[in-house]
Amino acid sequence: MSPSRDVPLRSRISPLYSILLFLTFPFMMLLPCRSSASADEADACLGCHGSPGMSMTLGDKSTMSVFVNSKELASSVHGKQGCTGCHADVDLNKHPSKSYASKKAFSDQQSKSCRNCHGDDRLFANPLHKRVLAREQAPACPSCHGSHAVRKAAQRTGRSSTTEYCLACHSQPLTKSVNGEMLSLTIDQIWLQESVHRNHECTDCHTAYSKAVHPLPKDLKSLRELSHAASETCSRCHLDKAVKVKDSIHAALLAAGEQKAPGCSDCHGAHRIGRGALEDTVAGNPCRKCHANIYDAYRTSVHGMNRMSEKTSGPLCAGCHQAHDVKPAMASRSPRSMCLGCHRNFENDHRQWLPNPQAHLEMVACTACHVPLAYKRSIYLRMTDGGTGKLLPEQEVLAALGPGAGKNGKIGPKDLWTAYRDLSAKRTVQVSVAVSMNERLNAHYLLPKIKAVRLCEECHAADSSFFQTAAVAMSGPDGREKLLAVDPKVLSSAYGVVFLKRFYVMSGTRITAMDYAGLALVLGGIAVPVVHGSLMALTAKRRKEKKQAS
Amino acid sequence: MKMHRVELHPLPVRIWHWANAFCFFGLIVTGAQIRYRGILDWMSFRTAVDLHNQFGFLLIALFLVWAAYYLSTGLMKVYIPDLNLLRYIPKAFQQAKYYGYGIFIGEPNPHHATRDHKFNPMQQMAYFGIMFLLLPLQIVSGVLLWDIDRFAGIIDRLGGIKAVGSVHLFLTIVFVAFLFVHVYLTTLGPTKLTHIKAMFTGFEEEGSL
Repeated sequence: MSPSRDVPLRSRISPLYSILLFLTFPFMMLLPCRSSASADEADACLGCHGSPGMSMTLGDKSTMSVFVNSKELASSVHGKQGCTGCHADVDLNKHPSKSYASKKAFSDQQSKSCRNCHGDDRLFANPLHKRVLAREQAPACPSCHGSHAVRKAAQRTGRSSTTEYCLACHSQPLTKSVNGEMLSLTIDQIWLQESVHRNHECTDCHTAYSKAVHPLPKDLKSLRELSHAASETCSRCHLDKAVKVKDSIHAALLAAGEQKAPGCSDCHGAHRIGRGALEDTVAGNPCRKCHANIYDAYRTSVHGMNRMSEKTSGPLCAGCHQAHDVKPAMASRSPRSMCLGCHRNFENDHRQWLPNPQAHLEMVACTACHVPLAYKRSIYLRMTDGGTGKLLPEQEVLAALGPGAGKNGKIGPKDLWTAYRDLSAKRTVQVSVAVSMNERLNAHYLLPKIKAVRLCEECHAADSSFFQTAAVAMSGPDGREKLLAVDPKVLSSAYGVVFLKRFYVMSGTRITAMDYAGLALVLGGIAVPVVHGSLMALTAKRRKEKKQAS
Repeated sequence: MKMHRVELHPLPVRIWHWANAFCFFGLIVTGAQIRYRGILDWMSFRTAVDLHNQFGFLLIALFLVWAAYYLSTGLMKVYIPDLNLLRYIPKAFQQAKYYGYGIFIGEPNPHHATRDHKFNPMQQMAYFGIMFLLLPLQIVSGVLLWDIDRFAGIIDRLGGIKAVGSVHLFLTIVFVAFLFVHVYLTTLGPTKLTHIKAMFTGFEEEGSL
């Protein structure tokens, strides 16, 4: 225990009690004695300190109650000690005239008194004491054992719940250092009362602990590790959610060693699990911790604006991305499945005006038309296994492309064609195409329906901005999408006839080689009348002469 | 040479021919606009697609009318080349020699057109290929491209939309190239307008083709 800063300041007993004390103290000394000295002593002290409301002002201007409940004192394990048993600097003939800098300073001073009797040998036999008292900011003895109703900690809350038992210490300012990070161990009882777990005991979650057992926490490397360890606790009851989480991108990130990936408590709170925390979570605030820029984009979207204007129809993060089985964001994949949850009639809506809606909606991501044109689009070539439909592993695609691919800049049509040929020799490979946003962030700037792109020419034009970048989508080691930039000429290459079988945007991705072939053929067609006509003109005189001769 | 008028093109054939020409023109213009939007700016993409589809279906209707008329009148034989190659090849060679040499020195056309024997061997081969192979192929590829949702399965089996689109475009190019030759050949009659007038009046001077 650290030494208290016993500052000899002037007594700050409140003025009224100072006067009373001054007037009555000599007479109290003359009061008839009870059977024991300690009882007399207590009676004498309680003459003043038994008055509720008696307080003193401390050095930090805070007020500390100096009221002593006589009943509590009597029932205390120290009930027969008398006041001076602990307050050794007080006797019936003198009253301390010093003050304390703070309640903490006072408590620390009192703790010293405790340890006069409770020696270190006995004290440190309890591992909890050993650990708690080793701290620099160790709690004072009264923090756990009380000041006048002194009991063993276990007895002190003997008839109460384990929660109350735990709170005896954990409602106090408690911190723990985890590799230099400070972990607050302080629990506000109000949090628990407002929690959906209010009817649970602490030990329902903290199963390793009880009134009898308080093991040392495992050696933790970081607070994040603690958070993720806590998620295991949640999964004991919330198994359905845990299963979903395991299928999420966040779980994949964690498995890949990314400690920033959220655990249960990051979204639901650690002890204040309940409506407040849930509203906070639903509002996307936990998501903002890592995805602040995306959240800002969302706020300007039709979804965000609707939400902010309290129409409440606008979805929040989880509305599209799911709450637990958050899937990896894939630039190459249309977010259609997300949108369908709410926009169930979207296919009929589009059928009203969009030709070939099935083909459009299969390849064109919703965002490609429902985001302002200021944000760039890109074309994604999804190389998938024909059987499973899953993206091909990055390593396999890169191996097929070979080390020479893209050496002279981006990977070109021939590079992709040879890779496709080699990959197809081993398995059925499908290359599907998605028109989507250049960056995932931009997918969140969703427009109101009325402002969505409806002009065919935005795509169906030789100079469309949609086809200026392209990338091959593969599967990374952690299952996340990996993109490999390729030359956008891939889209308008004759090689594409082989591997881009299902993607053709009239005007936008026309095969340029066909233009040259066509030009040559048409010029050939024109050459016939030009050459033959010229010869006819040159030989006209001869024909005329022959006709005249006949 | 004694000249007399021969009916080469009955009225239904003339109507079909000019309606067909109108469709070809419309399909080429709208097709070019569809393919080169951003380079050509004659009409909106949507208008071009809609008109292209309408011209396309009109062309299909005309093709059916053509088939029905030629089958019902027995005139379809004018398109069928002589299957006896020993007869066909010398005749075709003779015709090619005429176009490549004889015509320049004023030799007579070896082919004498009649209503039942309208095309020379080279024309027979060209129009047979166009009417029995290229145009049906163009119609089928056009119909598939008209509704890629409805025909997605067939398109996939045929090698994908890029392949079908490429076939459609290639045939278009062939037709466009042939049009120059076709129009030029119409000027090689006794006078430059003889064949063209015949396609309006139906009658032509015998042996002038």
